[in-house]
Amino acid sequence: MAKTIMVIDDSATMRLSLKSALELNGFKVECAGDGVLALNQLKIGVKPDLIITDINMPNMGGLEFIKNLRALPGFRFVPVLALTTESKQEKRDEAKKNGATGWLVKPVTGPDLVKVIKQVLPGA
Amino acid sequence: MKINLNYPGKLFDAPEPPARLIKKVVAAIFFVSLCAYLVYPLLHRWIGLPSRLEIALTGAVASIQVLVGALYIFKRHLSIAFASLATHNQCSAQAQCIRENYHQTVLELSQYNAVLGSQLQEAIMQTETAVLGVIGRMANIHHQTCSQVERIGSSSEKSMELIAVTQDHIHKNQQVIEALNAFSGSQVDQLTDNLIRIEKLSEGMEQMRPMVEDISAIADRTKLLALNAKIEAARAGDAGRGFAVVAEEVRNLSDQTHTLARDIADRITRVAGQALTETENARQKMASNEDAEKFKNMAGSMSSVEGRFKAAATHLEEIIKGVDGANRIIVEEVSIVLGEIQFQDILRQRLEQVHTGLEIQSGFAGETLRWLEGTGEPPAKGLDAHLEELKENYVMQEQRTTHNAVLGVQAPAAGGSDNKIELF
Repeated sequence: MAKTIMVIDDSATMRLSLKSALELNGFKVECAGDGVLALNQLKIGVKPDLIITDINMPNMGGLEFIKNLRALPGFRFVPVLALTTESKQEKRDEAKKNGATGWLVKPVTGPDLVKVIKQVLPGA
Repeated sequence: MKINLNYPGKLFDAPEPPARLIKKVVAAIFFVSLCAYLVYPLLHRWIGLPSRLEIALTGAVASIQVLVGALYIFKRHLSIAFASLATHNQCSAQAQCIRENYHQTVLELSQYNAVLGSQLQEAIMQTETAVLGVIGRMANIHHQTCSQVERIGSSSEKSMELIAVTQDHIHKNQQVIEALNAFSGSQVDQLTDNLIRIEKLSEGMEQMRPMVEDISAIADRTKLLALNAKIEAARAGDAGRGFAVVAEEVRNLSDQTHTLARDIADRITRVAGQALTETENARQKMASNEDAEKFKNMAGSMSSVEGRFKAAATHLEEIIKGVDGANRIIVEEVSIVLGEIQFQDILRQRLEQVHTGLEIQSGFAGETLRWLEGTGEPPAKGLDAHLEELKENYVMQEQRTTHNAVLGVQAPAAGGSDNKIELF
């Protein structure tokens, strides 16, 4: 059965490019425009096997989203990858502290992304 | 020109125009002369000075003297003052011009920045729309490719099935042909054996011919003997009558035997001739071996067809593998392109940062203008501080690198991880 991946990014380009690239590789993809919308989706029953989130977003950024996600029941161990243009080390450290699984700097090609997903998501 | 933000009040105070100063000097002379004209008659009455006209003239002369003296004293100063006045006048005009120009420039700069900002936003939207279109088309290309591969795969499966069934039929037909060929061979062998047997039979029949001739000779001699016996019976008279009947019967038997022997000889001759003819024909057919040759040709054709089918199947398999391989490359290339399309998001963020910078610039210019006009406070932050703030808000290392390169600043060591991909 295809694994489900949630993509959170305020850029429509990023959402569509990641969705297409992941669907090409056999994944099912859910999208959200920011952290608030993503949390709402998770609360109404969307159960992703892995989450890819941007860091700098309006309403709720990636760092805050990861923190809130870890407080939700059933999402403590879901792998979360931060995919961002952010290069500050303190942001990277904060993501790690909040429970992120990995940090990827844009742009990331489809094959590289799939390689990382297979590393953090056994059976993908 | 560096603007001093601590300057109290207006930056440019308008100097007094030189024309106004000259008017003041002339007024002063006129005032002194008037005073002299009014005061001297009183002095004449009280202390007995010459007549009013003389006093007036004296006063006027004195005034002229004062004027000349004043002119003499301020000669150099006046020339300097005129020069200063001219310069001051010029500066004042320039300042006025600058202020008006600056006001106009700030207004235009705000419009200019607004236009640039809108252009940037428009460009961001255009690139986003274009990139979304590209992504859609890439996904469609991939979808079409997958459909094509599926169709080719489906038709190839059917073709392979057909080829396998045909090959099976050909193989079975070949087996049948081989069986027929073997059967034909055994039939030929049997025929050969039969021919040999017929030949032997024919030879045996030919060997019977002298025996039949002997029988015929015996029958002739028996007939002759019966004739002699009949003659002897006739001589014996009545006593030989019975013997004559026997002799007659023997003669009849010998006739029949002779006839039979002749018939047998004829039939032997006929049968032996037919056997020889048939044997010869069969031998000639065997020598030509037509059936075996036909069977061999059929088997050869079948093998050839089977070989062609095998070659077609192999070729088809190679085509499918090639298409499948090309499809995998397309998927990978599309994945790479979809990753590279992320440049639009990076470009968007950088352009939005430039847009923010333009807005800050417009705000700063407006604040400066209001301050210069005396209707507002000096700007809280200088452009240096705004530039530093802009730098603080950068998210990409490339933005900081460009910033530092333009300002000629040595970038401090990042101190963090340079890994594009890091798993915690």
